[in-house]
Amino acid sequence: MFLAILIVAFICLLLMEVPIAFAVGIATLLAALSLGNDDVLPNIASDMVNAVDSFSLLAIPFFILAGNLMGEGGLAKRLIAFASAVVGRIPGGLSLVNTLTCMLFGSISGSAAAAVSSIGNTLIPEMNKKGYDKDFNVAVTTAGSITGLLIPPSNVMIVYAVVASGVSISSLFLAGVVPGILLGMTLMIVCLIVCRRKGYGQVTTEDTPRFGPSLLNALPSLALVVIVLGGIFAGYFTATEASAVAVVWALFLACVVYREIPWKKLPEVIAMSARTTGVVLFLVATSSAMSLLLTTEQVPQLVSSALLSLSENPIVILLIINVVLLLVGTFMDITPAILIFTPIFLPVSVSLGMDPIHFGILMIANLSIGLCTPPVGTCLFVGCSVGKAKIAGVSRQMLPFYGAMILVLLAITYIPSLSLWLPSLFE
Amino acid sequence: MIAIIIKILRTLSALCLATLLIVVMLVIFKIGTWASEFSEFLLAWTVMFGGALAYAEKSHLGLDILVEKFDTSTRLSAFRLSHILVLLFAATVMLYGGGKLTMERFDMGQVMPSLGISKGWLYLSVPLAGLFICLTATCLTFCKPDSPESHSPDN
Repeated sequence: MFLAILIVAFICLLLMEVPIAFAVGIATLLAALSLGNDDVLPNIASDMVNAVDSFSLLAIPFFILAGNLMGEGGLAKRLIAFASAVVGRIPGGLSLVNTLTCMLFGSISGSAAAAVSSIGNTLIPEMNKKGYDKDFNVAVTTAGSITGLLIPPSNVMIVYAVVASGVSISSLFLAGVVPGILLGMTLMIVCLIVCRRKGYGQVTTEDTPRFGPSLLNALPSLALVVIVLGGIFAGYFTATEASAVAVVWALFLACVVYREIPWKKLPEVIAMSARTTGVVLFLVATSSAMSLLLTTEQVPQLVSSALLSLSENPIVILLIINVVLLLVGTFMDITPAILIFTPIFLPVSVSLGMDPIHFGILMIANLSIGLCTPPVGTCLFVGCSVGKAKIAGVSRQMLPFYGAMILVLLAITYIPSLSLWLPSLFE
Repeated sequence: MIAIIIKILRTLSALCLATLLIVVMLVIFKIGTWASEFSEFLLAWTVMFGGALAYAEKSHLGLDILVEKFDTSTRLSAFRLSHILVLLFAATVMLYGGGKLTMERFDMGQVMPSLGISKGWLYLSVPLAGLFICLTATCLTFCKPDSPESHSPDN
């Protein structure tokens, strides 16, 4: 009964345009009241604070701040120049440049929506000018952006590591590298096929930048990846410490090396980052309250016994979990989905012999597809607003990309070594 | 009114985040054990102020394709309704529940181990942010809304 209230209330609230973070909170409140629990109000408030009073989550505001410092400067421009020098000469090259830039951007910033807006702002108009279809261009950028959630550093991985207590953030970061690159490559193959069929960008132009100078220009930004990931993987610092170092390096680049952000503008960039932190972590706060309620009401046990009664075959159960998560992802943002569904599905998967790290990568790969699908798809929305395109048209162009994403998701699900091989080297 | 709230929240949340950065640097250089506890404390405050700021600046993620299909007056009432619901949540859970929690912690004398201050200071972030959200929601419900296109989701 309380589950029905929770679900119905949540969906109604979403439809009424209540922001997701509050919709989750209000649905939790109503469900808790229907159970007749004591002290519902202070308990939810305390769950909210306890969820964000965490040292691991500290990495998120800093990766956001570092990303904004780099993004406000000319990061996208430099990465695009570098990517054009690498793949720009191939027929259909601009779509490849777009995807590669998204991957590089993802390895610096850790947020997919930021990638869509900064890369899309520059590349979509340029692709439009070169005769690529507008809806296709938005689709390429939207699809490419989600590679950043698998390629470390990634904010959603930090969130997963915090809910699935006992999973190390460094191992998750390592585990995401191969699947992230695989996803990027698969998307590029789709781009190549679509461009050849539709004849986009088949005439190569001579204006691609030279490799040497563009690499040199992008090198200080790419050095951030080496500092952050190298430092984490070599065991010099934790993810939180690495994120703070990333901010210092980004500050140094923005204010001293490239001098693209005047000191006066700095408070504005910090306030903007605090706001984005509020968006992401306020969701974490209310979703944790919902997740704790579900756990105390034994919903995970219910779900796992229901799943195991359907089948005992791990392949089938993982398939069911994937389908459920894909459906959830279409109408829920990735952060609350991870917080709410990890405690529900992780125990079943572990009982089937799955590694929690592998499950985390599966979950992120799965839910990130939902970021590019209507009705709720953050990346799709940002892409459409940046590219001034309609959701329906872009969704049609997304179809081959959805296919590629699901193919990669199946590979990630059934080939554990894709995720676990790299972390095993560092143990 | 909204502009003033936004200005206050921007300043407060930016100050929290900037201090947080300095404190985490202290953690990295291992200056005092209090620093890591203080950084978690500051994160909670940053999130609460940032969350309220995001609400005032309409940056929270949400659905906005269904209501778009209706005419302006229906949209306007849907808008008001959604702000009233947020107001109710902020007033009950955050302001009342969080306030009660904070008072209890101050009364119980529960102290944060290495900072040596009452845990109430940590929980105080919730009712305070709740107050800002209540004010914002009241303004948004009763003032004339600016164009709803100013949605700027970031994540």
